[in-house]
Amino acid sequence: MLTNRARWLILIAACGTALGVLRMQQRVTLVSLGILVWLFLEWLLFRWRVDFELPYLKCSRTINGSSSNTGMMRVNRPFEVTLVISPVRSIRIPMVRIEEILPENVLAIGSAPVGDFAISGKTPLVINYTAQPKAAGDLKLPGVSLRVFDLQGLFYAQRFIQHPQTFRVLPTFAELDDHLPTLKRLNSVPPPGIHRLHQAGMGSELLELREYVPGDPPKSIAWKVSARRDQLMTRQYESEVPVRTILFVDASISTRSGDFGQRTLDQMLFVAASVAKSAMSARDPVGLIRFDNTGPITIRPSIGERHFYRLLNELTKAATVNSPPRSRLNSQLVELAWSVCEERYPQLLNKRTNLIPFSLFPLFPSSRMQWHKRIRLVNALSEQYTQKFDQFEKQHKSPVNREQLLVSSQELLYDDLKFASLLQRFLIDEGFAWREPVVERRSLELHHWDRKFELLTNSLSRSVSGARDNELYVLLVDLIDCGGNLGSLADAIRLARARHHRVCVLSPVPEFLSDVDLETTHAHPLTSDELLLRAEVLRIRRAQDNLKRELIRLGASVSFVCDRRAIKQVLSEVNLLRSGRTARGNANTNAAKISSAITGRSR
Amino acid sequence: MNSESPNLQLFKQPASVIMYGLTTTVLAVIMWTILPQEETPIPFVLLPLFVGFLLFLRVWTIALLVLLFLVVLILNEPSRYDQQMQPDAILFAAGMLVFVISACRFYVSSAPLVNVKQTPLKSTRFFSWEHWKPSRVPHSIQPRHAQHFTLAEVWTGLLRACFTLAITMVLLWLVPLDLRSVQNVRLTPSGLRAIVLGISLFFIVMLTSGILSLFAWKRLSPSEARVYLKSTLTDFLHTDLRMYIKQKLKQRRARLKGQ
Repeated sequence: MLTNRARWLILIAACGTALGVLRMQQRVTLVSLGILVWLFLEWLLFRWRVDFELPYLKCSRTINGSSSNTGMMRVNRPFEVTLVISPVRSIRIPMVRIEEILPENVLAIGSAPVGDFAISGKTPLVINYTAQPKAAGDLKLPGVSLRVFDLQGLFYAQRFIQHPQTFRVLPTFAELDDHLPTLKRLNSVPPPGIHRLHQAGMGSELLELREYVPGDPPKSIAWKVSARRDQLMTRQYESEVPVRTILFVDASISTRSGDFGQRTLDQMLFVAASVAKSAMSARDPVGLIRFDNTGPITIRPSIGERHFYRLLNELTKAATVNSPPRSRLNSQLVELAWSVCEERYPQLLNKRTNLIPFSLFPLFPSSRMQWHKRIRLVNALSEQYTQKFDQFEKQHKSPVNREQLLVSSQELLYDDLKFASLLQRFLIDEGFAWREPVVERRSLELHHWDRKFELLTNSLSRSVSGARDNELYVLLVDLIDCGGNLGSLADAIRLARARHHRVCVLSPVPEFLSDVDLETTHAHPLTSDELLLRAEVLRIRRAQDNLKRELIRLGASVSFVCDRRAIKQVLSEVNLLRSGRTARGNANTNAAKISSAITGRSR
Repeated sequence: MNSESPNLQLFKQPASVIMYGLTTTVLAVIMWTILPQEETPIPFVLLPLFVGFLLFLRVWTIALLVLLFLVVLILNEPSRYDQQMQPDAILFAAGMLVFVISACRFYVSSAPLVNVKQTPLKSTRFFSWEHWKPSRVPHSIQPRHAQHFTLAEVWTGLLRACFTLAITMVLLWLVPLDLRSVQNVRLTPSGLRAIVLGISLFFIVMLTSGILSLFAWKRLSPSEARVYLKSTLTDFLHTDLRMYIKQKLKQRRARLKGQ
């Protein structure tokens, strides 16, 4: 590809040659024609290097000393990468810029993974860098971009060496110093994971003595006390139960928007993982219900290291598996997809391999260029996804209808909605965050509250109905914009409270909004952006107040941050459950009433 | 590896680069002042201006300077009707080529190379930045390392210039100046030469490009080959496919409207 410098030199030299020949000026002719010939020779050499020498470069990458194509990582935990570009045979390329293409989910620490090199012979080129994942999910390192230049800056070519490695990034968790007391305060210490409740049960510690009721087992009769009081007395023991924690994680669209590491989903995953870790270190069972617009996925409460990693894996899936909401096709989306495709699959966009069908329309050059761009993009992306279909076919041994594939790939040229969906899918697969233009803000604002409440209510009610003892329900849900109107969810929370369970609602706001200080006055007049930000913060705070009032009325604890404070709040709720201090009274009757109300509503 | 931003690197020139530029400039000045003594096509007044261009202006274009030289040459050089090459003209051209090659190499380190994705007519911005979305570094080249500026490079430049000049002279010698044909087609001799030269150049470029493409074609990756095959097939069937798909879309729209 010619640079501007080459284009202008060719133009001037060609004009100079023509004028020199026509005017019979020897020096002008010689100089101009000489420049033209020189440019031609340089182009020849450059093209030879790009077409016949560059393909001999191979790439290998080791991450923390391992060259495996898959693996596990942890959020915010740095990893060392060694990238080696080695020529298979002896080649010579005078100037090449090698850059590791990092997805948006990765942050390079220190020096960027890019370097300018001259390749001579078989000497391998090495780039070392350190990076860290910013958020949980799948992390794909696609390969290395090569930008080749000649020494004069006349020609330029870009190639990409594919070397995909995919890693699963697990959410990080906080290590809290909330270990159980080691001092022995009771006669018999229950085994780990078992807590004494100040309620009658089948434990080993005495709770109280009461009068004998016919039907009490004879072995529970306290004979000495009975003899002293002259009436039969029965020993009643404490109940020893585990405290179960169920985490409800909202992975709907509204929690995914924004940059990696700053989304509300990332905050929720951090809190969920930390609570799970802390509870499981005390051998309390932890379960998980994650839900998005496709439905809920449940993991039953359990304990153990293996179960903890299963939970982490499921939380990671929450950050990974989801289809974006359909957005309309816009030029921004196309341009972004084009630039990404040009960077990562430049060979597939090559004009040489993409034949454009002849058509007079569109007539205008700019529209024509857009149309050609779309055709090339469709060809490249359908090829990309055909490869994925091939892999699918190999894995599942089920044939894919290829004729249909061809028609559907051509359908993309005329069906804007389908094309927009494909571009969205492509950008998300390539590791781009859910923000404009990948996902339209409009579709986030039209959030479907009824569906979310229905899913959450059903999941919570089912958990309550299946609960054995006191349980803690931690709802990590984005509820800010519902305006305090919780609908059927309010009934489900009331039901849980009526059954002596505790409910903790964590509804975080994006970090950039929580940092805004409305109290300080500025010397300069505020810009329109600042004013809009303040208005948004005010709106959110008002919504928070309404929501908090409503939830406290229902008996749930609330937090609008998802950091260590929120984790401590959840753990304090766990401690309350461990000690058995829950509301008493006419709970059972309340529960029956609410239960019938929910059943009636769902009918 | 370089951790600085490309903008900072742009304004950072190693001492060896400056030395290289100085040497090139001095060589160019000597050639222009000594070689064409008889006619002196370039006024001496312009020389300090060129030196200033070379040494002090960082953002400039080689093309602009070449244009300036050529304009001065066209305006000052007298016309000659002989086909014989004058030795001073050959030497002058060689010096000029060495200068252009050296200047290009010298300034490649400071000028960001713009990847032109537009048509040539639209590429009026010489060295403007072009940012990639999302937040990719622009296409710039960092200053080269000192060890790249060796004497061998100067010799290579000289050799290339001589080789280029030899090909140029052969090309000019091959272009005929037959007076009979000139009379037949009623063209001026110089017009005929320009046409023949243009056709020869075009033919050479096309032939070379074709041969290179032929070899490169065999080295396509499976993905590229599939894209080519698929695009060829859809090129044949485009009209039918378009009709079929548009009909399908129309039906879908009608169905949605009905619902």
